[in-house]
Amino acid sequence: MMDLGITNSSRGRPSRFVCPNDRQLALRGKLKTGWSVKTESFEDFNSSPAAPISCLGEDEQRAIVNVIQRAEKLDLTEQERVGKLVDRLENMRRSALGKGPNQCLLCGDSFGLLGPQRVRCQDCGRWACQRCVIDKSAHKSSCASKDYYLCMICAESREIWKKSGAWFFKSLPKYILPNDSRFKRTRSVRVSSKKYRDDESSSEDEPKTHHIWTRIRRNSYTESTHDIPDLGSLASHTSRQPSSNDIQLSKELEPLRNYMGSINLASSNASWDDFIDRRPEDGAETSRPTSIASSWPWTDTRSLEEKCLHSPSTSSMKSTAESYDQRSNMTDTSLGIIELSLNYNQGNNVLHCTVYRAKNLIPMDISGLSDPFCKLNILPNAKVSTRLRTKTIHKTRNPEFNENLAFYDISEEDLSTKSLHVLVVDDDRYGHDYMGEVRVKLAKLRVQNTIYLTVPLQNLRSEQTGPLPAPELNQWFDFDLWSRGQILLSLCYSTKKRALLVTVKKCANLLPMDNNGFSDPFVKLQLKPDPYHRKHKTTVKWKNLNPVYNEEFAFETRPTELYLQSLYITVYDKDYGKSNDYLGGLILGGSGSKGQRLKHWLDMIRYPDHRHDQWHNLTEDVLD
Amino acid sequence: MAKTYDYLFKLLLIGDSGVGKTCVLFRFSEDAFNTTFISTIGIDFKIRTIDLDGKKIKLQIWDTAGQERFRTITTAYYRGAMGIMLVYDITNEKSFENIKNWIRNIEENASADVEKMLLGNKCELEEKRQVSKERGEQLAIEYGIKFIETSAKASIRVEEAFFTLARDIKAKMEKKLEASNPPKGGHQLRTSEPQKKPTSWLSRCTLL
Repeated sequence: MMDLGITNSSRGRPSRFVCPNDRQLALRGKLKTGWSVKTESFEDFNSSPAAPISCLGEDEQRAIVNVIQRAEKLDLTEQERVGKLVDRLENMRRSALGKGPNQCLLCGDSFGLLGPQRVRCQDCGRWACQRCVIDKSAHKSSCASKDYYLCMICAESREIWKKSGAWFFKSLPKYILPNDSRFKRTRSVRVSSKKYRDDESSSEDEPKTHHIWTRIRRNSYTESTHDIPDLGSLASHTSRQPSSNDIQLSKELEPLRNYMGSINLASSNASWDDFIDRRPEDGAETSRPTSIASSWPWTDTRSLEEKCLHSPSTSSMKSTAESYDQRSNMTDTSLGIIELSLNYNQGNNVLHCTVYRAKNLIPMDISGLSDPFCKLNILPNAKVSTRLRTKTIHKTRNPEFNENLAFYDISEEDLSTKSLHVLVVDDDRYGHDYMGEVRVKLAKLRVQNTIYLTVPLQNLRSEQTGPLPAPELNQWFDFDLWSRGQILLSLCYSTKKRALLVTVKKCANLLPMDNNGFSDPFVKLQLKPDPYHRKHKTTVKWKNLNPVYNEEFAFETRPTELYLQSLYITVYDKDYGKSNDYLGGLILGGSGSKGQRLKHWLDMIRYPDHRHDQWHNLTEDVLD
Repeated sequence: MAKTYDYLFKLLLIGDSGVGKTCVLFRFSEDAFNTTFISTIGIDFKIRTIDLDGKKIKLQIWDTAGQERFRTITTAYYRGAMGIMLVYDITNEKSFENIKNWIRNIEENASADVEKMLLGNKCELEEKRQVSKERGEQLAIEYGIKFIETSAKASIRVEEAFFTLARDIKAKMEKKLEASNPPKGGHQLRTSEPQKKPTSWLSRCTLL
């Protein structure tokens, strides 16, 4: 084998001038030997061989790859070991009971005259009882002058720093938590991308192998503290790769190359961001916006609802109790179920409907509870006389209504053509929120006088898609929930401007207030409580019931304050000579609102610098 | 399942080709010696778990090829090393002179606080000696590192060398962590605490 340094010079290639990086310059400056004297041997010593792979025989390459694989296996066990340590610490932290300074941080025993004596941890500064601390002053003779205690958690995390090597690399290395599903997922992602690259460049061996070594080179100069630990999951790749037994060198080098390709992506810590970033690569995974939405506690049910809405089976309703029971087994009950009975009295044409209870309704307010009531209606051709409601049961998700509601003047023909519509709504001062509905065909009552039903609630309208429900569903609507029209708002907390940006995009289906059958709407915005009492107004859109504004307003505030503040949105009809007519209002905020409005607000706080667009219904209640 | 251990230290052996890095490692890990010269291909590593002050320390010792043509591969492993053994051959003047180039290599590629050690190997060949022990000691003092003359063949002070390096690393670790200041950027608990305090203080102020 020729020495590469000689090879370089014998080819007579002039060494290209490469500007040394700052680190090199600084270090050379420190050296006593000086760096301006550049002997030829030194040049050989430090010159970078351009493509060393070409100088390595196949045997040598294979030997190196074998060593790397061996190291990977070792790293994997090490990662598992660190994972166990981290898991242990997390468990410890999770099971820490103490709250406040009067209790032991770990065991939760309260301090006092009779209780244990308290000791302050030097690291976290919290109090723990003597059983839950480690006396470091006993171990250390050097600074034993004063008491030095560490709580178990801090002592354990110090141990982790020592045991994982984080003390040296200044950050925890990659680790695999025991039974970590997240890690498995990334692995599968990597595999898929590997396959893709396999297909991509299976023909060209030479540049590929060259690529590896340039990668290695580059890595040796990156500031990453974990070049060797980072060689992480190579072993896992190769052990899974069926072709690793092949003698073909290119195949064996393939995982290394792939690994090296991904090295820039992989941070030294297995951070969650990495997993998120890679999600789009994985076809099965959802895109980022939905993953944001899924952190909301009940969006899972929402997505199920949508499935429910789209599946054709749910739109065809059966009315016998048995069939409903069957259906309730099949369809999801994520919105909860409702129990009611129907009894038709042929003598006086009265339909008695008894609403017993609902169970497992979706939570609406910030405490995870709802204030549900039911609206009952006979459809189609809803009349005011056929519109009944139950009382509101407050702060529960399992309301017991036990109410008997009677519909009068229901003829036998009506039974065959009409159906009972039960709408479950969350009662709120500022607008009612939809929680699900059920439609029951009355035809069955012609056969049997009384039927008992236990049915799952469905979501037949989705507020987010637009201001108005699909036309075919129109007939089912009772419009008083939506009578004041809707507004499309975009909220965004800008961390750069430190302000809440509210964009009033448009309104729809506003009430006509003027004689000409139109209104002249404008929107007022107010953030309360606000020390500056700022108010913003949009322009007036004349003679328009579906005005488009697209106007943005900024409220300077802190994210922490947003939890306590509420945005008051009011829509007025501009009138000259007399006071403006109130068209509708809306409150978005952490304390005052519920349901979709609360979700919108919290999303805005949780994901700053993202625009959150959403339609909201305006309510008739006059806001202050 | 591998033996349990408390700490994992990663060491690295560097030095000119033929100074006996592989032999030193072979002596340490297997307590054996092979007279035939087989040049290391690129990199290799050996594992040995040692007991130090009641702690089990797993040493993963990387052996590198001294040959220039493997330099790109070997330098990639500098940064992961917690301790580096610089090996020269006492019967080879050139290998000793190159130590300063190796030091420079370390400074450019390894972590700043890596523990270093100088090893003069083949000390059993006293009749062929070209580099005196004093010169080795002098160089070690110059760079502020420890120096040991070893012989892999005669098994002289090889264990001692590795144990010394491991002990130095362990002492450095303890000094870093046992000092009254806790690890920087430790974990979530710690980083969140200081932020909470000022806000509570501020809110108290506004209430007043």
